[in-house]
Amino acid sequence: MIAAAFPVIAVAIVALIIAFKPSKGMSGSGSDLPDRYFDAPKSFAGNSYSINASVDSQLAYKGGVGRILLVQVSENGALLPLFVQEDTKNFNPMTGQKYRFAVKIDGEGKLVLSNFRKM
Amino acid sequence: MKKLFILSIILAVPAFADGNIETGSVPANPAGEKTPQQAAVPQPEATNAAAKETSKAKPSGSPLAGGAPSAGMMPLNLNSLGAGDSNAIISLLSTQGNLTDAMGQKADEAQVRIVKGRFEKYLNAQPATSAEDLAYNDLLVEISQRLAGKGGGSDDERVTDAWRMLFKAEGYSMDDQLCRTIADKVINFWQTTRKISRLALQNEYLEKERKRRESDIRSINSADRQDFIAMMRGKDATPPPSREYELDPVKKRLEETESKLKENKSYEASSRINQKLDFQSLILQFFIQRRYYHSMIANDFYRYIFSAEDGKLDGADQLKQQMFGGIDIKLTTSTIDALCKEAINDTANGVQAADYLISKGEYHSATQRLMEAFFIGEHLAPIKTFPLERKREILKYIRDTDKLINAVKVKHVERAEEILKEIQEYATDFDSGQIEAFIQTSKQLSNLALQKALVAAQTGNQAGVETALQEAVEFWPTNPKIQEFLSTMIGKVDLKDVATTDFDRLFAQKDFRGIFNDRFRFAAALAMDKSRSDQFMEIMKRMETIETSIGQAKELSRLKNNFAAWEIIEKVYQMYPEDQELNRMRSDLTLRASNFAAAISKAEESLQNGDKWEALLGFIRAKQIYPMSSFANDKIAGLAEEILQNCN
Repeated sequence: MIAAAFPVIAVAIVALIIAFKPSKGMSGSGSDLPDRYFDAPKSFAGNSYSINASVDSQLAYKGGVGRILLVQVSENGALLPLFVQEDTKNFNPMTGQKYRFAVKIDGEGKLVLSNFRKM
Repeated sequence: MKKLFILSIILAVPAFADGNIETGSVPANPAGEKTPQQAAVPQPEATNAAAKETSKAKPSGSPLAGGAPSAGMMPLNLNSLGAGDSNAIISLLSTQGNLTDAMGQKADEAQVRIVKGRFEKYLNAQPATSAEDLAYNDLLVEISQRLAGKGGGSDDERVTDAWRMLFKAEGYSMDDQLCRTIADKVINFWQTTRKISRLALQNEYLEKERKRRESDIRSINSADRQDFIAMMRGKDATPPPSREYELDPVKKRLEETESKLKENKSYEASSRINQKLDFQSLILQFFIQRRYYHSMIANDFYRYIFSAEDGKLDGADQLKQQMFGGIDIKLTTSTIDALCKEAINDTANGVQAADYLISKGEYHSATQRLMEAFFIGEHLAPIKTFPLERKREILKYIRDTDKLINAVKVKHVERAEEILKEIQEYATDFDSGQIEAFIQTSKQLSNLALQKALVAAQTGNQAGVETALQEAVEFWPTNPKIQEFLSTMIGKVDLKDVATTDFDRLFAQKDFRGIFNDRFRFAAALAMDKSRSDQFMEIMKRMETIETSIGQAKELSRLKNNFAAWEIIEKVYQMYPEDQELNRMRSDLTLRASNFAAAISKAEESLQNGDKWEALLGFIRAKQIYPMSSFANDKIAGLAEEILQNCN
């Protein structure tokens, strides 16, 4: 019985491992977003980074579009706006809650949440 | 002759014209008892009471007054004086303003000046009270009295004595050799009389000669007639030659004799007439020159010299007309004599009255009386011996009234008041009522005109202001309120004009702080200017905001909160970037909050470039520098909304 269930458990664990496999940039312990991003965000369009940050506040929300959160990078305390699309699942941020965000910079220089992990 | 009459200008004040020289105010002269002889020969000093009687008895309209007009001549009688017409006051104040000549004609300005000058000269002259003066006065009286019979003797003796005394009087300088003129006339009469006597003897001889020549003619004619009768008796007789040749020389001699006789008689008659006329002229001349004693002495001589002859004065029709007007009267030596005595008495009474009035402090009347006396009897002893200190008092009054006249002339009301007060202190009879009324009226009318000017000014009636001001100045040129009014008006007009110009200039330059700094001046000046007033109010609101922010920024900066200070200034700066003070403070604070300012600046720049996310990042960075920044917070919230709106 146990032996019969083992493969299922193993598959589930693998699946979880795959599902929660950290993307590039989120593998480190800190944020790897370059400082120059603040001066020229468009210059980093297409790049992806991971950021350890806590939720400071929600700046704006639009139904069907998403929201913009203000997060504070854990390493240096810098504040960053983060665009979270409406369809991001299971993301229910709370103020002060720490996350590891996987972000991607779009054409306008916006930091768009692509993945997250609660810390 | 007319010039001489002008010289005899006299005062024509009513009192004098009526022959009333205020003797009533003078204590009665106790020396009222005089002999008729004394009455007939007036004294030069005021001791002649008999003459005073004559004066009292004289009819209204004394000849010496020349029938002068009396209406409106009362001192300070302003009648219906208008407030703006001070001429009447000036005329009445002037103690010389009422001078008329013997014809009642008002003296012109030049004459008044001459008269005034002479009177002032007299008032400053030492009195003629030396022994010589007194002796001369006595001698004149003595001559007159001797001729009148004093000392007795025959007419010839008295005439001769008086004639000798004339030479004595001639020796005094003050006589001006007038007595010598009389004496010469008397000598001339005597010489002519002697010549006429000689001519009478010659005429007697010529009469005899004429009779002889006439007898010769008759004899020749008789012989001729006898020869003719004899011839007619014989038929063949030849007519004898005519004796005409004998008659011619005799007739010629007769003609010559008759011509000479006629010439002598003509000389006798004409020389008498000429002498009479010469003497009469002399009498009149002395009278006109107001040398009354000389006139009377000459008159006395005349009456003795031309005794039993008609005393009518010929060639004095003009004088008669001037003295008696249209009255049909015979002007004789006696008339002149009476006029002289009356003038002497009037002078004495006038001087006495003046003296008494001065002692009572009635200087106005005293001046009038003394002037009358002076111009009637300038050369008489009472005038010449009047004390200098009394005359100086009169002079002071005249000068004070002159000052008052000048003040009234130029309508210097304050000065007139001041002088009036001075005069009132010593002249008890000075009628100040009408002068005071004039002063008050001038003041009131001037102030009233000023009120009119004020009303006109308030309604913006510039022409009305000018007219009213002109009126105010006319009534009282030195009215201090005029100056006040002008200062206020000029100030107002200037302020308004200058302020308007300044406001427009500052407004065009957008120098609202300049306007704010002088806000009180502009507020007052532009109150009535609707459009500018609105602009001014807008500027004041703007400046209130700026000043408030500056105040807050200063306080925050003092608390070392330069970000907040900068932010406040920056907000206002974005609304009103032209304010210099705001700029200066912004620059200052930008240095102190440079990183915050730079973040904001960078964010703004991104926003202007359309990079909203970049701008958002900038404002967030600013917020991180100064978390309380409302500026950043507002922008952050707004930009976040906008970004989401733009997302599909």
